[in-house]
Amino acid sequence: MAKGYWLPQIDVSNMDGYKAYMAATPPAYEKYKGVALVRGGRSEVVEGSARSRCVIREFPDYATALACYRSDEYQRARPLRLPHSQCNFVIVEGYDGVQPPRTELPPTATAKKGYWIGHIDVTEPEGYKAYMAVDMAPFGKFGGRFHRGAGISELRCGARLLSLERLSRGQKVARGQGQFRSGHRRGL
Amino acid sequence: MAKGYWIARVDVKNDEGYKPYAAANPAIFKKFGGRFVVRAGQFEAPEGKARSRNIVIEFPDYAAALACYRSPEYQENIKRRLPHAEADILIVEGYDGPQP
Repeated sequence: MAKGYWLPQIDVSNMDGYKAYMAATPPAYEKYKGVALVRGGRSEVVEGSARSRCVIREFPDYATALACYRSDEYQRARPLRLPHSQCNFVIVEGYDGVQPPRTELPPTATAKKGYWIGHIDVTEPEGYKAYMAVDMAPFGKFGGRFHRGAGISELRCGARLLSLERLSRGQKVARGQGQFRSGHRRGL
Repeated sequence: MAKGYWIARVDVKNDEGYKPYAAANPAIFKKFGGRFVVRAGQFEAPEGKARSRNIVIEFPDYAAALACYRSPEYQENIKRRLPHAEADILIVEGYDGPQP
């Protein structure tokens, strides 16, 4: 099911007054499982206009996002915000359709990656080739890339070093583990 | 590291004219690791003003979100949108601190 989001944009005129509002909201977010994806943070208006502070808060679904806004818990906190800020507040249903495929390394991704390091003694090179031939599909599915350069010395003594690099931060190590567990790779 | 987001609010004046722009975007976002979080879903605006179409796109980090917007591919695609829509686009760094 698609998630639900709060997308408020806020101009805060009195930060000290606004802080009392922020301190009063956690009970509503805890009850309705609202998680902050954006909370202030560096920003740039590249087109049109925007208010100076923006927040993205993610809820399990659209109905929960609406229910949190209407809840007693949030409606008790909201009056603490109104004298100190102006707000455009949108509550919107998330998207769970097709995504752009991830087959290339995002050019500016800088987060830590996850790796497989396999040390393998190949005892039957011809048989091993068949395994290698089917490698690419499962690795591609999980954003893996080969780094072979480090394997030269191992190759000399009959071993092979293979590492798998994940594509982006969202996939993390768990994604690499997921691939191993996917059943494609049990032969490693 | 915190992710990066585009938050776009769009009023489309000409649906047919807008379609080629929207159709060209996924290939551009793919290059920068972008994924749709919100894509014009149903919404309510309980406070202030809103535009009719809300879009949120998540990128691996803030730099990737900015780089995608500034890329020649997207800058070229903007030209397809401008005659058919009014947009506010904000690029913002994500939050990775403590949660409730």
